[in-house]
Amino acid sequence: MKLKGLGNRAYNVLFHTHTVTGIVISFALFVIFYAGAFSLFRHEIYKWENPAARIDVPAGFDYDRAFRAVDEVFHLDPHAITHIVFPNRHDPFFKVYGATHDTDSTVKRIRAAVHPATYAVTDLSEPPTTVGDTIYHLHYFGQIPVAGLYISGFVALFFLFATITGVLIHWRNLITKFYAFIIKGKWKQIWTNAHTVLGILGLPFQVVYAVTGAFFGLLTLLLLPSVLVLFDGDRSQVFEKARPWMAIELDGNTASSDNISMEELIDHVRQQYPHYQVIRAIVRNYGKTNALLTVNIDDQAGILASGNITMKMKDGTVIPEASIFPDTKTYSHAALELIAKLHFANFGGIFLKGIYFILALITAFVIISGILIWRTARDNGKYTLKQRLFHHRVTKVYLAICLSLFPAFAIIFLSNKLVPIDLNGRVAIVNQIFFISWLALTVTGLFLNSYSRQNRNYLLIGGFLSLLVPVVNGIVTGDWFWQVWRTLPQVAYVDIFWLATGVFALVIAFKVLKISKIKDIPTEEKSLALPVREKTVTPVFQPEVFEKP
Amino acid sequence: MPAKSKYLSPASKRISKVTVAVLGSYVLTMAIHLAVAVMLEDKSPLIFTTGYSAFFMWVFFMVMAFLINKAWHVWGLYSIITMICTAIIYIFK
Repeated sequence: MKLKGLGNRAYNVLFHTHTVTGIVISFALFVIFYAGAFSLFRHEIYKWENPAARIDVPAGFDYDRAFRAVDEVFHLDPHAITHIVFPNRHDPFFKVYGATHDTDSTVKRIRAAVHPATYAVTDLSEPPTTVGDTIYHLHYFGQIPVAGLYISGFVALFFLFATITGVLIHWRNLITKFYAFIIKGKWKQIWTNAHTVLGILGLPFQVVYAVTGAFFGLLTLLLLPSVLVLFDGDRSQVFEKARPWMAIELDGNTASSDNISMEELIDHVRQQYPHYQVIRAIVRNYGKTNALLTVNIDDQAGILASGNITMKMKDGTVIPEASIFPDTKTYSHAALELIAKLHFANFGGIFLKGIYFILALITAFVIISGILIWRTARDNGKYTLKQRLFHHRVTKVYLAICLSLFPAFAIIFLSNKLVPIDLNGRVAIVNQIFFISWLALTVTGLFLNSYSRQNRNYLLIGGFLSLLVPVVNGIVTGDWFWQVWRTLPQVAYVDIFWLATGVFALVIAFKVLKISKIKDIPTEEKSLALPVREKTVTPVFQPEVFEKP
Repeated sequence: MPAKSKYLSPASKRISKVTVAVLGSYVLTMAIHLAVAVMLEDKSPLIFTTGYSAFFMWVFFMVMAFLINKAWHVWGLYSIITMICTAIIYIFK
């Protein structure tokens, strides 16, 4: 069944824009999706990352005592907006993100963690581990100051462009392509079928990520004109609409008061919303007569199920105009929450995250197959040898950057365990090991002029390193996954994931992959041979999509 | 399979096309959103809608910029709509 497609000119013009946009953003987009797939689980892997976190929160843990412990160490500025993250099953520490006054009245941001059993305070400005965070920052190029976020935002925008032009050019064969799970025929056909079929199957997911990704990267570009025109340049007005509890002005010089404890207020919220979990809180003017507590709750199942309840700590009265209630939120708050939840997948539970993970990897594959179509379609006599060598080099570099990320991720998990946990500045060392080995793996791959060899070798290295992850974790921390899968499932699942990934990668590398003897580097003879072969071999599937009359 | 070059703009005109497709579409998108916003009593729903609608509109105008044959037609069309929106913003603000 054929749908009415585009006219000749429109088809060719959009095809060209699709190709050019795709090939320019492809490797950056691959890094975003691949790193993004792993960062979906960055909270879930925290107990694996940090052996000190492999403890339970004792019953009767006192939030106020923990908060005062941080205050004693850092002398918190009560007037500053202070964020609290409560202990949960992935991370047992009570965390405070606030500010402190120096003697010369400069404000310094502080981050601290409180041990749930001993109430010992640790400074988080040098956190003990950042594997999840490093991968999370990589997925929007956060390692590049300021520009990284904008680059990722533009990559997301052009990804939306590439997705929409992709649907338009494949429109004619959309329905037939749906059944084209064919891995026979010429490579050009195989890559094209894979690209189209998986691209169409993952379309809703890709559009969601293109839009929400662009939102987080390019938010400033969207807000800037609105703020200038509608609010006369006052940025805070927009932010106060999104976070109404920030709109309340608090006098910093009020008397100290004996307020209701945080514990009691949160218990009150828990009774009102029994199926919700208390995730975070914002506290302002703690210990003063006008102290405010905004409690963030979420049932972590519904896509619009979070809420923020603001209470006066003096008497516990709820301030409705400074709260967002889960069941009665306005369209504006719902729209923002929808964008964030669709992006971070923190609804629907771990099963949904698994689906997101698989869809992200499928999208990464669509990107790789796109690069290979681009190159295969240009490896013929219509192009000069110089042009074809250029296509080959681009493909080689792109594949090396993308495919070496798999062993590099195994390396960051390994170095997280191999660099001693009490070593000073260990986080910087772990990150350096990760980035340098990613670079080294990429450069090594450039010496291979065969894509299938490149792919096989990265799978081999990555597979072996993956198998080492559970072994190294077992040796260093003593928590072997077969011993702790009941008590510390979050740790065991990471080990089992890497074990399965390692076995899977090695089986593919040894049993499934066929290594082509012919090198992929273009030569003069090949440039003469290929067009002839192209005429004699009958294409397996739907040729008219490529050679429209 | 690569696109047939006889349908594509000559290389010299592509810079103009790409500029209007990326920058022109952005300005046009924001102008339309602001023109709607100034006419509304409660602006906040529209501001949060912009968070997703702007990207769809931006990409739509990008595609249109490439589909319209001549680059100066695109410049002309996008400028006129932007100016109309600017006028609306001035009148209602």
